[in-house]
Amino acid sequence: MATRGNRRPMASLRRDQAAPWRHIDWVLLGAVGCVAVLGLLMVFSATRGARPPYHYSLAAKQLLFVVLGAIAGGVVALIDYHHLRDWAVFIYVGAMVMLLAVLSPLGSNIKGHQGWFDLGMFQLQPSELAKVAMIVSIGALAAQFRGELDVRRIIVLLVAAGIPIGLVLLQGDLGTTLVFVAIVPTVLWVAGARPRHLAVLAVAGIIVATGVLTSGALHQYQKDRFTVFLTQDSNPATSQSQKGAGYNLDQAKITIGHGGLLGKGLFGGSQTRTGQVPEQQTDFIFTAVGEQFGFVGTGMLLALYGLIIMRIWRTAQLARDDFGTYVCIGVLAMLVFQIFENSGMNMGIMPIAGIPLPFLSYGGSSTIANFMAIGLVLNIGSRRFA
Amino acid sequence: MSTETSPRVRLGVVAIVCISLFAALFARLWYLQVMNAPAYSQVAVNRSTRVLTVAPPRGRILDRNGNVLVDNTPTKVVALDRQALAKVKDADAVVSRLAGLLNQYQHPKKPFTLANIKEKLKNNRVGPYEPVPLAEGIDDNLLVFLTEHSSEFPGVMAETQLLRQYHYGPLAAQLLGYVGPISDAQWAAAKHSKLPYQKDDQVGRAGVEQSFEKYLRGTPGRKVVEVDPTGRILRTVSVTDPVPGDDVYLSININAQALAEKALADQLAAARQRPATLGYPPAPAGGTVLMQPKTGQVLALASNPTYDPKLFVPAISNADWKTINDPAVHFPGLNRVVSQVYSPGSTFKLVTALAGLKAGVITPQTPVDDPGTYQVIGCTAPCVTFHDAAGDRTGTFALPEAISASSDVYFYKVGDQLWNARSRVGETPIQDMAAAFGFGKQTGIELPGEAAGRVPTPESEKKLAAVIGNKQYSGWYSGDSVNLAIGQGDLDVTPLQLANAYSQLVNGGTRYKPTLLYKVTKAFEPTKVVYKPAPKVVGHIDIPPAWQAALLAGFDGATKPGGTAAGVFDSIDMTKFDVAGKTGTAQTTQERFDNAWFVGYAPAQNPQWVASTIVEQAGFGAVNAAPVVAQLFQPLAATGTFPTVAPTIPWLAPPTATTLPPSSTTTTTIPGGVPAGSIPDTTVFGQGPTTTTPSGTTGETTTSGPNATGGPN
Repeated sequence: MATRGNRRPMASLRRDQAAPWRHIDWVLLGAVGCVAVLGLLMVFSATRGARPPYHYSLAAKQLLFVVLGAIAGGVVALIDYHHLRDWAVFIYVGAMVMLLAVLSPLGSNIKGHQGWFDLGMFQLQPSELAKVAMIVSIGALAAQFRGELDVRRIIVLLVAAGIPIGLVLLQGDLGTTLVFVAIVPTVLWVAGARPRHLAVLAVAGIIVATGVLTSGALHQYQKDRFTVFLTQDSNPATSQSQKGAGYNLDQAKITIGHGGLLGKGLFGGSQTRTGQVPEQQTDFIFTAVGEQFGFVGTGMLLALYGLIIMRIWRTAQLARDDFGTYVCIGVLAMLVFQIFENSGMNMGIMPIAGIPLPFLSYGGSSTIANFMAIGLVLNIGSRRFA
Repeated sequence: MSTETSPRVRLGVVAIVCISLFAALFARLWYLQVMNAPAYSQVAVNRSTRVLTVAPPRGRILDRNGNVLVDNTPTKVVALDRQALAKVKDADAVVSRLAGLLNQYQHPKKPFTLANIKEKLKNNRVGPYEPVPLAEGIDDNLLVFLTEHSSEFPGVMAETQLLRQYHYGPLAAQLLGYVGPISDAQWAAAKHSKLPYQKDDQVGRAGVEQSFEKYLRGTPGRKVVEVDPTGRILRTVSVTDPVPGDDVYLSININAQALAEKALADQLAAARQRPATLGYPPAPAGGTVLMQPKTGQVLALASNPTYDPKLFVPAISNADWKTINDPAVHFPGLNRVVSQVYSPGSTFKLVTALAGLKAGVITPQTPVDDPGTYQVIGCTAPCVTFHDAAGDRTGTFALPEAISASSDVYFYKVGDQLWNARSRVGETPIQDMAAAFGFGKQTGIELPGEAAGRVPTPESEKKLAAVIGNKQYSGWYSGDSVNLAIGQGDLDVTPLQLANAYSQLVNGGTRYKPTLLYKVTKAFEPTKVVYKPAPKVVGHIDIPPAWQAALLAGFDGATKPGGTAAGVFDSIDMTKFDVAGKTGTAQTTQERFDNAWFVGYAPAQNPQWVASTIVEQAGFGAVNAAPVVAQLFQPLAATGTFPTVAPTIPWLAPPTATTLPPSSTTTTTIPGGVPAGSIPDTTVFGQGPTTTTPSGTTGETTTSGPNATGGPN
């Protein structure tokens, strides 16, 4: 409108103040990008080896995952999320089929989890994608109830969420199960569940958790991780039965502590360089940040995460409809739980569970799923006026 | 929407929960990375790094003129890297192949097998990151083979190891000592020092190798490496090169040392010509020491029988170790000059004379009648009659003559009179004088295992009698003083103490600590002196010049016509100076020959050298010990310098049971057929091919050697 002459087709768009591209949350996008780039560096530092020739393969693969994740997130962001609401049933059913299929001989068992499709180049972990699917589905269902959550509707929601949770638990993947479990009450709370219902739910949860812990349904190593966290016992002589977990926790704390205030610099951490921390590129990537960048760098990482969470929370608040709010809150719950649990277990204030640190840990499925989740939030945020 | 709580509040609650969780993370991060960082950092460094030590080359040992006595020679060692071997699938096959090769090329006494190599690999004295040595002195052909087939021998490595090299063969063996694996006690003692030892370190275990360890050792290098959790070395973080040990210059003059050892060996061989008495062959062993009376520096220190220190390189066999400590061959490892004690016999008259002079029971001029026998003052029958040694001159002697002729009666009387005057001079005038000359305690020379000797007193005899339960002789009698006066009885001294006592007399009364250390310098840098000790005074007595003159006149007379040692010294060319000295013949047990002593010094008028010699169970000192000192001083007296020796002494074969008495006493051959005990021909010490020829041929005259101009000092 400011220009004279021929009107270009874009001009109409430019005038459309509600157009989604005008409301992209660049801060959120930038923060996620920063963390993902840091993640590439950290995966490289944790896997390149102590001396030349350095290994680039895992870092290169993670770069591919980030690119794939960005594309997937972009696709998710482009489709108006109202369509997703319409397709919620199909998304839900599709996720359930994947979760069932992975339990069949089609899936493969890696590190004790029957939770992977071996696609040759990389292994797809459907439970990661199912998290996003479940957030969309129960968000849609809760939005259907328009904030009127009585006991019956809560039970319906719990059953809808319980099926994927049960299927993931059947894989033997306790960590991912806990992420699912964290999402549900948060969404219920924001969707209007009464505090007393949630209190009953909490009590029931504690009873179930205790039962699971004592029933023998869990593997010994899973129990060990929990008891190690309680005792913080790093003495190999007394933590014989907890050798894996105790050693891992001990090395993680030492590595983070070694970083000190300013860190040892990129590739300067001897613990990271010499591979003292098992699974450092995945579940214990936080220690690589801790050692190399110290309190200042790690604090900045947590601040970036905080910024991401803040922007998601803000999007939830500004969302045009309940569905948008609930989906954002689901994503928020998923990310907060993963960040807190993962960095918490790295620092010894949470029990060890196999949960990756979003955008930082090496891993294809989780990276792509997290980008898709961010895509959802960007989608909702950018269409708040549409 | 619920009426109970607005959506705004519900989202607010979510925000608060999130903020709380992040606050918890920050708090924990602060705790780990700020509050506890030092502690965790320490653990991290311990876990991810290891410090390897690199042994420094051991310092050299040289004589005072810079002739290298001991240094290091590289040898190839086949060693196994346990870390690398652990990664090999068929490690047993590799070890078996290696065992076969080692047996084929090295011909070990005990063949290598898979089992005994595996046993060696358990050696916990070698650090986990150090290769375990299997065999030394590797054949070049084997090295080439292993290099060419290195892929078939993962974990097998050829290392260069430094071994001690003794340039003068068996010369000064007991003095130099040897190196060996550190003992657990030594390791533990140095555990918390600035430079702790590794358990597989080699240290000096005897002689100056032990006493000068702190100079010779050097500073180990440090290599800091990073390791993964399984202990595999990933990379090197830092390297500090080892600093070689310092060069230790001994006060020894290797030419004098060679001369002393030769003179001693010659004399032992000569004495062994005599038939054995009651199954005890004569002259099994002896020792001689040459020192500077005005500094305390020892120029030569010989002990015989001896051994070849090469036996200790790289490690001594059990059989050889047994031989070195075998009583049947008279303990070749024993340093008789510092670690063995003997009754000094007449050489002790020096002390008796001074005690008598000091107490006033004699003057230098007092004449004493010596009829050949002596009975103690106031003795009532039955009396013990003390005799002069058989064949001694009798007559009336003043002090100088009494010393020259070694009149026992003269000194019996001095001892007896001193005991009778005990109310005036105390019970121990002789013992006090002995103590003033350093007898009865260690001299402090830098050699481990030095004996203190013993000077008997009424007090000590009483204690001894109580210990052995002798009620009959539980005190001190005139006879004890009479015996002590001529250096008999329970008096014990080392040859070094005796030499040092004579040094004290001839230098005017100052007793120096005998020392073997001339200087310490940086490795291979003779001008960079690390330490050069000054003569250390450990005692002094004032000797009135008249008394000293009388004693010196007596010692001078001993080598002149009428003196006890005249027979030996009258044939010596004393162009440059006279030699003076004192004979001693100390009784041992009834069945054996007496111990032969001689202490001499030269020049008689201005003594620069003092030598003392013991020849065990050989007979008269004049015949059996004096020739050693005569032979030692002869080249000095004739030319003013010691003949130069080259670093190969074929005539000093290391002893074995068969070359020692009693079975054979003549294997010590003297090139040129020089009669034992006579003046040595300098050709003997020259390095010539014919010097290795057995007796009967003439040695080629040559004075070439590393130090052809080696001076006397």
